[in-house]
Amino acid sequence: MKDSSVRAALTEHEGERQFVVFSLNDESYAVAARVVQEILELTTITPVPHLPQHFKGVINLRGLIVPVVDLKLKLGMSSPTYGKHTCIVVLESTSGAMGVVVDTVSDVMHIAREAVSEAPSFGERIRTDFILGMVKSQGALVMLLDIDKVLTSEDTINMDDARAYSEAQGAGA
Amino acid sequence: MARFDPQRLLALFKDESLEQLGELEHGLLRLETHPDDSSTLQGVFRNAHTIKGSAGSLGLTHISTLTHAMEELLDMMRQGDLLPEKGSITELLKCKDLLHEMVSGLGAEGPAFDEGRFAGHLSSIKALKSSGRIKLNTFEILIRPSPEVFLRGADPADFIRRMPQSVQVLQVQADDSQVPALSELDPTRCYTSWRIIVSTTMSAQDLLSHFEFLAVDGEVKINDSTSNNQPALAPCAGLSTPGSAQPLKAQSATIRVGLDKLDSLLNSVGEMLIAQSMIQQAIHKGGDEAVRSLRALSPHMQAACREVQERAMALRMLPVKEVFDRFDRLTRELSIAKGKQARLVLEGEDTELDKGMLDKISDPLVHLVRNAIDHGIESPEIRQTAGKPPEGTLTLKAYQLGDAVYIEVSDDGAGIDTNKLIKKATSLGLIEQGQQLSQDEALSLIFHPGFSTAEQVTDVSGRGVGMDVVKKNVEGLGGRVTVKSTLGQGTSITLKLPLTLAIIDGLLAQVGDQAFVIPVVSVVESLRPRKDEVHGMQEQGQVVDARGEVLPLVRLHNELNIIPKTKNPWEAIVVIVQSGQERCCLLVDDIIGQQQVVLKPLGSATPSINDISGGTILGDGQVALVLDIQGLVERARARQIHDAPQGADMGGQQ
Repeated sequence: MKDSSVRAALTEHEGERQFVVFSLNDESYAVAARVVQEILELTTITPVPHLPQHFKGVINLRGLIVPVVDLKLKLGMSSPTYGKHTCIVVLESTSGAMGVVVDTVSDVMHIAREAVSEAPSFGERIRTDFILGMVKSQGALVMLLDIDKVLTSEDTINMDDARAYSEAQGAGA
Repeated sequence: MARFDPQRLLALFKDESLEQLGELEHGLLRLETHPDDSSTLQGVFRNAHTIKGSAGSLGLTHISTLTHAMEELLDMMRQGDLLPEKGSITELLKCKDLLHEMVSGLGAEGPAFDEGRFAGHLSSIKALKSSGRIKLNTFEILIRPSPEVFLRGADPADFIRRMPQSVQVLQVQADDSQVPALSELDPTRCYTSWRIIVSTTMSAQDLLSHFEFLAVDGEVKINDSTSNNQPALAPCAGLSTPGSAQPLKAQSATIRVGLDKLDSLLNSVGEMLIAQSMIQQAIHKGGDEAVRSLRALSPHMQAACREVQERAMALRMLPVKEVFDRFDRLTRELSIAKGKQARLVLEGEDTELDKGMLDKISDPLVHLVRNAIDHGIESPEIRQTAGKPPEGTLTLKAYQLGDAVYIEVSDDGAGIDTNKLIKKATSLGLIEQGQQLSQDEALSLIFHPGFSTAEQVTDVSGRGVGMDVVKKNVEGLGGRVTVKSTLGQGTSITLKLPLTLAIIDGLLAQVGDQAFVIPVVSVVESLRPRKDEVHGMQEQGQVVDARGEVLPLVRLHNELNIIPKTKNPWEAIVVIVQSGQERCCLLVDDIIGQQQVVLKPLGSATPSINDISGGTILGDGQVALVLDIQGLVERARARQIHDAPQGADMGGQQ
């Protein structure tokens, strides 16, 4: 059922958008709430052979089989063992429903347009088209991800580089 | 204002009548093999009646006289006064042929038809009509064979099966109440008795003589039940006999659906209604509360909707029989037209396919069948010179393998001459002079638009004309067409069609801590080999001697990158699977069991993998992957070829 437009209407008040904030290796990221279908506790993931490393496998979502991606691996970070707060965020990507494994889901944030600073240019070495922007929240930097671009990109993304770079930029600004 | 134009009216009549005649012929052919099919008889009667009516209104007396005579004969069949057997059908077919000539000749110069034949047919119909007034008797036959009947070398079922031609069996009931429990059953004794209701022109005496052999030491009683003739038992009496109820052909826009499918759909609809009422309640709460509840309910509704969708889709699944059935006549007609002898063999007619898909493959299949008869199967003389039986065999076969339905059209005809194909392709400039093509590459040339190697392009087809259309249609459905041909032995064209929802029988196998489903259709057997039956290397190029057959060992844990419980085949299980002509042993840790599983796609966001055809959800809610045996075997083979030098070396050392 495509209710994303309804949801968008409910969540996108004037100039303010809702984001679901989660952490990956103690750093904060966020995705637009309207693409989030649901948040699940970590369940058994059935591994699927021959897929890129970040594809952890598939899960049963009430009778529907949905692939699950380890977001940290996709973003080029290390992904140690899953803990008790680890959960799966089911997103509606353009290629279909997809689960992403994140460390914890911490918050749903209303973010005003003005609070978002543009992603800095990292030069040609690092792609930034999957970063919508950044916000400062309680002193920490939250990266707003264009999750569709993240999930559909074929390249490896090196988020550690991007973050290090942008933090340096942010400090300078 | 439209002017009355006799020429236009005549042309209209011609078109319409030729169509009616086509249907009429089809109906007559069917009646010959299904004499009790009253809906066909009705249809044939209607065809004749329509032609008669229009011919009469146009003043075409001869045509209306002949159709009137035919109609009378058909009416007698409807009343049960005449049997639709070979003699009468042949006569009606001949009349139809003459009518065809008469109608086609309308408006043309010269004598429209042969007066002599016309008179001849009228009189033979008259003769049939008078002979037809034979009373049909309905008998009830009670057979209680002696228990020792088998010892005398007789099988009562044989007598029932081989009733005389003029006997029409309406009903057979076997009474097995005397059959004892299995432990006490003596297989050499006959415990069954029968009650058979027949309709025949034979007398009770003649009928009894057929069962004489059973009457020697058993009991055979024949009761005349004509007097209390129930309409349901009379053949062709307008009502169909039980079991032969068939929907009229004209209603092809309707489909028949199993009750279980309908019930499960209704269940899902019920769930959807509950979800809907919950949403209604949530809306009444208003404000943030409503939004929260609605958000929580949305997945419920989504799941319910999806279930309804899936089950509604399942209603559209129809057996391929629907399409296969029409090829009987096409084969017959085409082989007569081409002076060939062809026998049509249908296999796997119960394989289900989506109705939309079925409709779309119907035309491509017609192309393929035409090609096979026109160019595949040779004339009887050529066949005999080649040492083949004069009658060619055309096989239409449907089967499901993994997540695909395959439809195979194969003939035992001349096959495709790839040298000819290459020559033709060169002359058309499709390939360069002297270009080397593999057998498969050469064969795939026939799919090129406008490619035809038929030396004479006939009205039926030129091999290749339409093959590009076939390919385009099938690929449009997400399918694939492959062609295999051996010169002098025949051609086989396979359509692979995707399946959205399928229930398959699966063998649940364990590898490491994961369960996999192996489709039972691919499984030959499973066994645990002895240590001395496993030969070859530690890891690569191993073979298993399975009951004398030496098969390559494919280690599933290697193919699927899993850590197994054991790597030694003699401590595990090998499942012998077959893919096409190829067999191999799949090494698994254990067999968990066999069960029906619903094959589901792995989600649209999952990249496709050639040795996994999908997944299924097990009883514990976990996902198990369903193996695509064909893909798996291909991958394993490619790997073995890749690893061959190493394997061969080590093999040599042993």
